Amino acid sequence: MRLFYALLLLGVGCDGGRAGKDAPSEGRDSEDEAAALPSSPRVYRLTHDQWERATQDLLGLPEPSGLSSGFIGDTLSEGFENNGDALLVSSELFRDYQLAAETLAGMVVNDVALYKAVVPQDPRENVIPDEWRWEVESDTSASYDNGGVDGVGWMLWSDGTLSVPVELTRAGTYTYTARVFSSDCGDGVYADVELAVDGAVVHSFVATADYADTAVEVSLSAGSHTLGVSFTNDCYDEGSGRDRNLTIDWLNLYGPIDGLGDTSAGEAEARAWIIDLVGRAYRRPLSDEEITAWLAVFDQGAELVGSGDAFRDGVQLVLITVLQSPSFLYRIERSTTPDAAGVIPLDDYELASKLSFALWGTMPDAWLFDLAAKGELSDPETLREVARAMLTDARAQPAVADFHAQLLALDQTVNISKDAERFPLFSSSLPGWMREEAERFVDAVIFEDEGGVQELLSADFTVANRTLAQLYGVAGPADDDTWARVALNPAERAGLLTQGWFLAGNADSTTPSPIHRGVFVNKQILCYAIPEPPPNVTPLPASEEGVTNRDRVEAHTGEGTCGEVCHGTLINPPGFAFEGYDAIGAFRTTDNGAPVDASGTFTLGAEQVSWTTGVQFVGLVAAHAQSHRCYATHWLEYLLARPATDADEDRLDPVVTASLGGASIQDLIVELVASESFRARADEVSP
Amino acid sequence: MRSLWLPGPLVVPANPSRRAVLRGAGGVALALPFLESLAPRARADGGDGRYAVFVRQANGVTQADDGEPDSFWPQATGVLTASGLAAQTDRVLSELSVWAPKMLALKGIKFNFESSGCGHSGGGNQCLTAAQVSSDPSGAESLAMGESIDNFIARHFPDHNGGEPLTLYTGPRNDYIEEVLSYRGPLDLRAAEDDPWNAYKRMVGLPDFTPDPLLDKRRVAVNDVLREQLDALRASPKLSSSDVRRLDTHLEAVREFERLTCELAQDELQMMMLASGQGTLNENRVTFAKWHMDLIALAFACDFARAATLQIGDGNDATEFTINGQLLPSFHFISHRIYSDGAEGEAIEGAYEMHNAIDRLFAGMFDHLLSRLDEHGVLDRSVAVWCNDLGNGPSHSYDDVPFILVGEAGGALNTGYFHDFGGVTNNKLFNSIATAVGVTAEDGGPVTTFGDPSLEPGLIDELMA
Repeated sequence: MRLFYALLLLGVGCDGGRAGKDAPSEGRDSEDEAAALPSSPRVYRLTHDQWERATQDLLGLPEPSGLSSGFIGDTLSEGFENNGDALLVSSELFRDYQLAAETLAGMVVNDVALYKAVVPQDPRENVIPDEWRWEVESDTSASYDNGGVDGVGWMLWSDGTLSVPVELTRAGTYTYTARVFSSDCGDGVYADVELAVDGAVVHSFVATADYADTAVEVSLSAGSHTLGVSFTNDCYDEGSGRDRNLTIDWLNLYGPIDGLGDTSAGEAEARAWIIDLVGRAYRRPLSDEEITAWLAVFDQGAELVGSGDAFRDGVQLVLITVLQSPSFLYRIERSTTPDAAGVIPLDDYELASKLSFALWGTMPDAWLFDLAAKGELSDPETLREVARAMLTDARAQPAVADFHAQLLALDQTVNISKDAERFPLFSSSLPGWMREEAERFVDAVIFEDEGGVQELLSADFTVANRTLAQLYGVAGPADDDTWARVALNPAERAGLLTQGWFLAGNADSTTPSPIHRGVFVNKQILCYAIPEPPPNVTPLPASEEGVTNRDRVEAHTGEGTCGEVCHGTLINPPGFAFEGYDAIGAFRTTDNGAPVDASGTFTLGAEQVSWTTGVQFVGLVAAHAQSHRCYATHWLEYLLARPATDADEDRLDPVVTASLGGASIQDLIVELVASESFRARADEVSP
Repeated sequence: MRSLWLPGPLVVPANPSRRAVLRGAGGVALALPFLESLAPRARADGGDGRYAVFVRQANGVTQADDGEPDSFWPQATGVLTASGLAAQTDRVLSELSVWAPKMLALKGIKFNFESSGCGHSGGGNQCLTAAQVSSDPSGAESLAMGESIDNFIARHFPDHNGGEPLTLYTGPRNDYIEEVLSYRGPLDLRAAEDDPWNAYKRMVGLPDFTPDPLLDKRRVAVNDVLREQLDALRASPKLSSSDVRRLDTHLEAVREFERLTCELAQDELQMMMLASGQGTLNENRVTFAKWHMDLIALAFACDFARAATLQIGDGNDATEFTINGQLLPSFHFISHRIYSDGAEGEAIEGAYEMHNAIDRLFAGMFDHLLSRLDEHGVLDRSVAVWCNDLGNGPSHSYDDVPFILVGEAGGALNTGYFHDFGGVTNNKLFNSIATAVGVTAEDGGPVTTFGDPSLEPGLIDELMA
């Protein structure tokens, strides 16, 4: 998500976007009278994180493959990173998906355990040979004489043998391959090489100046064996200094290869596998037509992969294709039939996917698929229960953390840098700790305490390590590796906005920035729009002895200046409310030798509010409908993967009312999931 | 001095292990990273392709501004000679004196449109598009309202990289004005690749770098299936306008791409691989820029792509460069001459000199690109452009935005001059470059109408041979 920090806002025409409502409407049924649902996409490309986790879940990988880390990124856009309008498949990403699909499919068909997990429908015992590939330079299980690691591979610089132990689970015929090259000692003669198993030579050959693979088939029993590579004709020419050496890149044992190519698996098994695997990839049941089309893909495998094992080749080709299929890469809302109210309700499978990607960041699991198959998700009550259950699952924590990291721009904490002489508590670790504090605090409020928006914004505790507790002037853990809840001084701090990530993140290396702080509160906490500053703004004057930061900024931007409209009423008041915190976020009562003045007056919704301290301001914000509405609006955007519009306003009323009444953030999420905005889409005509 | 190239320390993960790189998070073996053949080879068969590459520096250059002197341009307009330029050691462009006969130093080029609140963003929007700046979104998130010249050139050569430019970047990912240069069309910013290793893997296009005789045939068949599925989805009713646009982009992307068949040196590839993912670090900025340049030169030499951009630094480049062993403050701070991204802050002593040293560092990086193109024998068929998205630092001006061109584009450009056009809009420069590299208008004549339709059409005649 993007946050926009105005530097100096000396423009006019700032109404702060306050034409919108701040408190819920009264006395009407919101859904009956709500405005039409806003237009929304029907296809939402998976984010790279969602792709990573969905491929992991689809194929049952023990860990994420990590392949998405090489994908081309997405450009910045409005709203959250999952904004469906902004996620497209460019030619670069198409090629990334292609390579990743080919790589993952190759992994599956070349790994016995993985293949058997992904294709349980294949009844054959020996469909894939077991495989080892051992890399010489990084494996410590090898022993050698007259050799060493040279960065390219293992070099035998005099007659000697490299020995590698292997443990085989099955007896059979194996292919033993070595990749080697050799230098000569000026005579054009290269290394004589012997491949051995358990000390017995199984193959001899002469190496070449370039890497070359030499393979030999060997029969082996189950159990322990030793592979050996020997170099037998060492030579060193003292005159020229040329030396005959043998370099071994890797050894490979592949097998058992007996019985490969068994084609007893047939169409029934292929069909059963496609219905399961492709259905899960599509996250819905396949039509008969689709099954037929996928069987046709499967049948092309023998020709287009050509390993000699038609069934396995079919599996590989289907995997390559389905991992690039739009029905896998996009979450698609296929329903097009409006109900009596004129909106298009999502079907059960669409709801299962929408829920799963929103709350767990991945495709639905078997439980959600089962609920969808039973047709239970389209009932709002059931949907509530399911969402509630999903939030109690550990898989919900990353999504909730991701939401807040984007909302609060926690990625930008890496940019925090302070004058170390002036702020001895600053170290290169501090920005990371400030981020971690915010993450731990959010987790504590939402999952441990099941707290609400008010607690998030004004809690009397934080989660800190030693340095942060010291920064806040309260008792804390004994070291920086230990994190614990710490009670805050209620006169000085409360909630998210008195934490370091915000206070130090909106300050330069020596001086707090009331302008940045004020803009952040307006935009991110209250959802008040701030226009961009005009070009060529006049710089702030330099600091003067005895003049506070507030006085300096106010003289330049406040009442009576050309920046009065934006700054005087909108940006400066909430910014000045945090003048009691210096550039690193420590509490202060004086600034530049004069008393700090954090007082202010601000139009919050329809009312004027006044305060004298930052904590009072935070309390006013936390108790006001506008901050609850704003927070709920952000969640709506995240859950629906689209920016909010005016048409969403009325629909948020019940959620805002409940949140103001003390409902938890988990409740807030559950109610948004159960709302019509989540369950249905607008009926619209293609452009 | 021929070049100010400063390789700088390369920062890679602690204890890099080939095995760690080879394996995914789960320890699953992913790829054997090296191609079978060891020798770098590039096509040097004297093809007739013409190429355009644009390298962007941010934050303006040290030319005359707000009481500061000019230390950038040659002392006088007219013919440029190597010896004459080399003697002007107080000018940044003297760093590029060996290229003087092939150079066009162009002063007096301007961006025509105002920003919508953020000078850096608005400059980036216009730098290669000559298009208007969006008012929605505005400010630091503004976008260009038109296509960029690299995309325009590339799509006229559909057999090269699928008609796509190479879009490369080295800089931080901080969710604040990142890539800014390359546009498919209005409001349609191209994502830029920030990792040379990823860019190389994508160009080579081989899973696990393993050649497979059936690969191309298989991809054709798979792509046929994908196109069929996308066509069906695209034909479904009640799509939103954004669905339609995005599915069309996806359909366009489903192509049988040529694969890069020539290679970089193994030691460079290995370093790229080990440093993959570390490109956001300040310390790696110059090294990654150099690697990107090597890829661009290789791609041109092998006729893989016809146009490329390389953006060095994010929107308002905050890189802390190290020059002659001295770690400088943020380049953006330096360009403001104060320790601040905003308008207030303590003055940076010697900021102008630091900015000048950074200009020379960029000249050195550009020299690296020129040398690579020259080594591969494609410089004379190319036009390499060192550009900026502002004229100068303190005033963030859109006037006198420096454009330094090197290469004759196969004899189409009349090089060896320093011109001051006194305020020509950048669309005319792009008309000239597109025409020089062989793009024609629909009537078969020169390109004259690139950029915003409100701008005066035409070429800059002085540039054309």
